[in-house]
Amino acid sequence: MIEFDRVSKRYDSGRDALRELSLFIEPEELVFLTGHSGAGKSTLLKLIMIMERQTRGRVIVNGNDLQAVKGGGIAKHRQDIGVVFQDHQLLYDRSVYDNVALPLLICGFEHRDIGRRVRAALDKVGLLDKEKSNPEALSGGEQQRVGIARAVASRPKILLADEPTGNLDPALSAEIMALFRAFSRAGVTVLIATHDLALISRMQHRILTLKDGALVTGGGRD
Amino acid sequence: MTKAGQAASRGTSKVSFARRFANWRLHHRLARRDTLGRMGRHWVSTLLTVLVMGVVLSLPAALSMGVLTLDAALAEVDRGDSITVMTHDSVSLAQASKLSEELASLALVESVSLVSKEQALTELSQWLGLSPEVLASLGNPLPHSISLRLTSTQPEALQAVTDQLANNPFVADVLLDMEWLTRLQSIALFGERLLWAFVAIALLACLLIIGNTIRLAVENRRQEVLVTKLVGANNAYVIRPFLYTGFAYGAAGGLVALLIAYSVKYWLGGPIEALANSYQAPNFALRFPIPLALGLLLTAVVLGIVGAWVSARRQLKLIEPR
Ligand SMILES: Nc1ncnc2c1ncn2[C@@H]1O[C@H](COP(=O)(O)OP(=O)(O)OP(=O)(O)O)[C@@H](O)[C@H]1O
Ligand SMILES: [Mg+2]
Repeated sequence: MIEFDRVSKRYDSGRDALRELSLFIEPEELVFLTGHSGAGKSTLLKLIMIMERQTRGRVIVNGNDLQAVKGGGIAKHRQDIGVVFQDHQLLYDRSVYDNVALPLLICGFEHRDIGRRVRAALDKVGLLDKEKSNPEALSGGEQQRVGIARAVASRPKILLADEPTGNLDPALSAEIMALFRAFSRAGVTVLIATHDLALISRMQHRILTLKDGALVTGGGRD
Repeated sequence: MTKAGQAASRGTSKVSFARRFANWRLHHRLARRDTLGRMGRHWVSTLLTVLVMGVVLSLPAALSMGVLTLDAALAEVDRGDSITVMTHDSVSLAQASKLSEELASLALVESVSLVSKEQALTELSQWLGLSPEVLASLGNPLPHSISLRLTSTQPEALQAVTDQLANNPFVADVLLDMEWLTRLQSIALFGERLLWAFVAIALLACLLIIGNTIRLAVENRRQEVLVTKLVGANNAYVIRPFLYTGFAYGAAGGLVALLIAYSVKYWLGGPIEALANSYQAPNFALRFPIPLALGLLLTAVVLGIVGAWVSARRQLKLIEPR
């Protein structure tokens, strides 16, 4: 469950990235977030991750007001969220396997369990044969899929994805979207920021449209 | 998936203590392996940092060896007759010997020796190369004298005894032989203060070295730290490898310092022994006791960990959004 209550975000530069934004996303719901470049999609996701703090308003995730989440609580909060970053954010000093295993290790999964889950996640994104490679040796699309595998491996309660299909061909994009949909059916809240209007318009899910930091459509509870 | 099933499969909340402990140990093991791997891969800079720390720490170590040796030497030095008491002319030998017994019973006095005016005359004549009869014919101007050897060589103790003697009606004069002692003690005090100054400087230098090394390490791994935190690691998790790095630098630096200190001891050992023999002081030798060595090592390790902790915390605060 994700709720924004009249949230505004002004960066230190003075730029208003979000303006008085309110929205509500049910658990088990899959929602797309779209809008022009610079509309504030990444900013919205960063607020949910507590990578940035809102300037005004309230962000509530799984019943917790994020303003009150501090220190060690931030780490706990992030353990419940899987994120696919727009710029991958992989670690290039270790293998694909170790990248995907990192959140599992941090969350405290058992050793055997980690191996099983990492391979399952890599299998889902079609990269099982690359587990020993260094991410640097992978194509942009492959790196993106490693990021997706890392985000889903721990089966988080919430899945955020920022342009997860930006570097993928249509067939792969459709596969990844199907993967996300399966997650939402399994009870995961999924929020996907994307430009790929053609793809999402076929998918019959709620679409939030941002324009200059304000919500144009899709904010309510339907 | 049910709520309960989710919680169980995710393993973050409601996990047994044993499981959490095993996990904690795993994280430590990984941090250690990571640290060792990194130090090995950057062995040149690792070695340089360790050597710098070792050299810095060896300065107070070597100096403390000097101070301890000097202290031991001071205790060893024959205290001689620290105070000489001259009696009035009118005091008889019997009275003088009674006085000497009284003095011998004082707590600060270790032993006394009475020299009668006749003995003194004989000694003087020997020293002058004249026969005692010749001197005696001139009349004996010398008083009886009592030499005191004290249990302590502290100037305060000497002063206390002197003050006591000055009030005694039999006593004409008290000769203090404390100049050289005071001087020696000043040197020892100077050495001690110098040592503490060096200790303070070395501690500060080590903290700065470790702090800067860790600061650079965090800066170099900024991306890794950020990503690790984004996938749910807390500060303890990301700081752990840096603490192990600080520990390793401290321990290795401490060992290098010990190596230097023992080399110095070995190198100076020969000349010191020759010197000691020439003064017939067989117990006079360079001292660098084991507890001091262990203390040095422990200090180095603590410095490493504390320096790393402070620096890493600070650096993490800087790269965090608030
Ligand atoms: N760290 C920052 N400091 C200052 N301004 C920022 C920062 N991050 C984003 N902005 C600004 O906030 C606005 C929204 O940025 P955001 O990244 O949320 O857009 P976006 O919708 O994700 O765009 P894109 O589709 O290109 O990824 C932009 O105008 C951007 O310049
Ligand atoms: Mg963006």
